[in-house]
Amino acid sequence: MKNRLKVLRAERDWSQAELAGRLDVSRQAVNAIETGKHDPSLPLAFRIARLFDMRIEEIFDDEI
Amino acid sequence: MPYNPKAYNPPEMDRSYLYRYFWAGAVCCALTCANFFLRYDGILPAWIMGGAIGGVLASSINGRADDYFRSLCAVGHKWAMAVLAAYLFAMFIAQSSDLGVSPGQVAFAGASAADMTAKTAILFDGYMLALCLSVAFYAGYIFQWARDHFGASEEE
Repeated sequence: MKNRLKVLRAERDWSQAELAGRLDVSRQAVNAIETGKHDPSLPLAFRIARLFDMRIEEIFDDEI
Repeated sequence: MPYNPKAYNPPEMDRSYLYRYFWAGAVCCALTCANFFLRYDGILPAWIMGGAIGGVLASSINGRADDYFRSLCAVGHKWAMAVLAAYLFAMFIAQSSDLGVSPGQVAFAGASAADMTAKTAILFDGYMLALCLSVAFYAGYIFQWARDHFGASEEE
């Protein structure tokens, strides 16, 4: 699943570890989500959406 | 105040450590397998075997694990279950064909352990089974990890 996590993180000038700390996950998990290797669970997707103050479908795209 | 198991929220560094525990466990598991054949006796192999348990234990405790770690472990667990199913199927064949005698039968029904041939006796080695399951778990995790890191990217 494609997502805009890397772009959103870069816009805020956060490192992967910093974003991971804010989401209560590991840096490896953030890296896996950013590269599209891992789809986050629904609770994590909601946490990501809340953190960036966006809707889930504005961050994740399952149609491509 | 009632106990709240989710009260402790580990920092990112603690969550990342889990991944390192796993790799340490994988190395220890490989060394334990090697020692299964080498039969080196001493305290060091015992400690190394303890290390091999670490990764398996980390996979079964949810406290510090995140989504991604659990998804990698899930593949390891699936592989371990596949090995267990294969083992039980072999047991089924052995027992239904009357080729082997299980330790339970030996203990409670008085069947003779001497009836076992070397080939069938190997089926009832609990330590070997546990080692095979842990190898399958580590192999499954590493397979998925390698696929994530070296497999085709979605962006390609």
